[in-house]
Amino acid sequence: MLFNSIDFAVFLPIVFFLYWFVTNKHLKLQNLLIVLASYFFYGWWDWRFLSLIVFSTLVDYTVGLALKKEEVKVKRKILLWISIVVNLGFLGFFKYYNFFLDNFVSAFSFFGYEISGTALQIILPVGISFYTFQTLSYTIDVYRQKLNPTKDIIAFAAFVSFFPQLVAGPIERASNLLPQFYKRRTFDYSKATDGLRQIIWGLFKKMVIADNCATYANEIFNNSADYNGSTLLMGAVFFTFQIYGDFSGYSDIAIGTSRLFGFNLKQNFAFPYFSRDIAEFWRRWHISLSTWFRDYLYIPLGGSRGSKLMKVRNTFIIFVVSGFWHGANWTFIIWGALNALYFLPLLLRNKNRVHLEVIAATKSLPTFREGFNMFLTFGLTVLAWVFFRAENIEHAISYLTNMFTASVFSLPEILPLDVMALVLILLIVEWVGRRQLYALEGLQNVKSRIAHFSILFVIVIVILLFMSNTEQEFIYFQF
Amino acid sequence: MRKFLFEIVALVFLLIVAIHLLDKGEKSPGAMRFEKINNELDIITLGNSHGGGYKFGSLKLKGGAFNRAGNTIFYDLQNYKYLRKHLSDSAIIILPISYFSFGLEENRVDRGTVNPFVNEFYEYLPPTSILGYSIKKDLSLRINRIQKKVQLPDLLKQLQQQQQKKKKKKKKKPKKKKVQPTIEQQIAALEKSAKSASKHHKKIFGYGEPSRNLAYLSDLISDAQKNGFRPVLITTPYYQAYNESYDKAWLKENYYRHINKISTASKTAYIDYSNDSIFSSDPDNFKNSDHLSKKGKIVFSEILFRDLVDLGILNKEAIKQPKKK
Repeated sequence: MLFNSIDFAVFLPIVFFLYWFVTNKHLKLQNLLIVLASYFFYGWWDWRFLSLIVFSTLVDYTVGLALKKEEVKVKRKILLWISIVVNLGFLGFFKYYNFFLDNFVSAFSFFGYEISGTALQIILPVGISFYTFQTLSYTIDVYRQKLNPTKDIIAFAAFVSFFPQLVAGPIERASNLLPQFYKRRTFDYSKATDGLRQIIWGLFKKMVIADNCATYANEIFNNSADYNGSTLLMGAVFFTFQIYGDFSGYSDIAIGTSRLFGFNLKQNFAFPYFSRDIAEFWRRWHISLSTWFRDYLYIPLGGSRGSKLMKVRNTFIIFVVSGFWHGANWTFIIWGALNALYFLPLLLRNKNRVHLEVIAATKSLPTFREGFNMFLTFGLTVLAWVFFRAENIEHAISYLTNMFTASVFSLPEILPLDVMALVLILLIVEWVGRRQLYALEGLQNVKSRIAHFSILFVIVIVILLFMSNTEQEFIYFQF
Repeated sequence: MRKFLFEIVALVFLLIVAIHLLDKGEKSPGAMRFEKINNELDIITLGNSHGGGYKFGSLKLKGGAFNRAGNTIFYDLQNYKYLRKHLSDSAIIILPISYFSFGLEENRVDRGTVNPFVNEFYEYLPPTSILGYSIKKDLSLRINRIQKKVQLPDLLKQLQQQQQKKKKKKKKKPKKKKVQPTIEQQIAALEKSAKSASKHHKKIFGYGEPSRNLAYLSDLISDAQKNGFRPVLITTPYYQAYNESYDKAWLKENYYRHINKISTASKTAYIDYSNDSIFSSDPDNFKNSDHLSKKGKIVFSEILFRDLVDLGILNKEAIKQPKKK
């Protein structure tokens, strides 16, 4: 079920009503409702893959309890590996089987050995990369004794399958989300209103910005050989805003929806395109994934401790794995590696933690230097997104080669002023709200209820008037 | 909680009102025909493109063509129900039925999954008249219509178009005189069109269920008769090559058997012009193998109205006398 669909507009009020009016007196019943609603939400897409979520839930629940009882180190390790193998096994099979097969066949044939393999017609279950990482983090935290395993299987199933963030994150940690299922939730007007605001802003980002930019980005990327350099640059910029609007929009809707039910999810995007260097960008982009890799991969590898060579190795590993997490294609790996290259100079000069505060934190406008750095960082991400969006490496290279010609200074062949104006509105609103958790959070300070309501109504009307005509899936569903 | 629910309900209510208000006004020309009927109508045509362009101007009656390209009998029935309130007592309803009509699927699924065929019906028909009505589709069509109204002009496109026009003006070649095609060329074109049209029509015939289409047609006729209107079934003229591309046994089984049965059972006049000797052999009367030309429409209207007089359906006085030159 898509957040930007009429199906969800019907589903959400029904679950909301049952949650606050029917099951509100019994915590377990409320949690059970969340599990059932989440399974329904997921099954709407393809009910067959529900079995994967249920199996993954049962495995990690059982492993968690067994870890609590087991004190022998080797046996604890075996239990951890059972969880890792099951979760990553599903992920590996559904997402990477054909990729590895193709590359093995090509590698052997390169060395003169002809082998054959049967590629399978595999459907990638929506959200598998998200919920496997979420449930894995639970087992790892229990193994590290940072978290007590839960005995409440309903609460655990609700944690794994919580519908607002099930298919595209934010990837929540058990330490943050799971305890919220143990406590009784009471309805909080200001929290719910805040959630509604964030949902509306998320819908604006998805339906107005991402979907409109997608129309042009798709046209330009799909026919890149026919366009001049400036149009290709426009295509890359459109994709840059498409992916931001799409993914951060999804996160906003997920966080907002959770707040309607009394839950707090962590911030997933913190205005990444206002970053002054690539390190800051990665602290602000898909925060839940970056921190996951930091805590469960980068730090265990040694992090930024050790020799320069170790630092370089660890940085490359984390970025390449992060790229590979997005999809079984070399384009994602190159995208990750390119970001590692951007990041390394900062790390090696110990300048990767310079910009911890938001840009122009106490001012309304950035300094020239800040503006220049922001522009440069944005430019670097635009280039990297070309690899992310391209069909394959050849496509990305030909795209960039055609872009960097003299024609980059000519007039673009596609210049939709209305979409550009909408992107400008997005940037202005986000700039104004950059010190908050999401751009419209500041509206809570509007004293007059009528004024607040009117602003929301105007945004909804803007969405209605300018949303794209086609209901498009969220990009991150494919990951 | 009450405060929150009140705000949500108010937001949804205002949104519905806003959509309703913004959607008012101009609609597609096809829908406007139905929405802007000021007079009581004495004679109408329904059906698909074969039923178009009759010259009601030659009558002293108020008439209107409510046929639509590709239309199905199901939507003829729904359009008739919509028009019922606009018809005068004993109004004449001409029902052109084509060879493929009984085999069409109601919503024309043969045109693909997106199926824009039904979009226009969402603009004026009530939800109960639309087969498989979906609120989702209705809403998205309304939003599309609203968006079209507020769409900003694509300035760059306009600029490019202006430049192209300028270039074209510069390169303007001397106009070639329009050469009338010879009779042989006309016949060749009609024969070619007959082949492709009949092939397409046979294909789309297979998507529907004839028994359902017969039921819709029976409903339409019996309701019209009950209300005192006078339905008339017709088959419009086709060029001979179009007729020849159909197997006679096929036509008998899939067309004439049904239309004759309905005509007899409902005691409705049926006039078959498909092989009319005046038309079928004269290429000048046809735009293509199954559609009349401008000239053909004038001639056919005269013949149809004269036949309706002969059958006692139309009053002789209702036909205007041609002006003396």
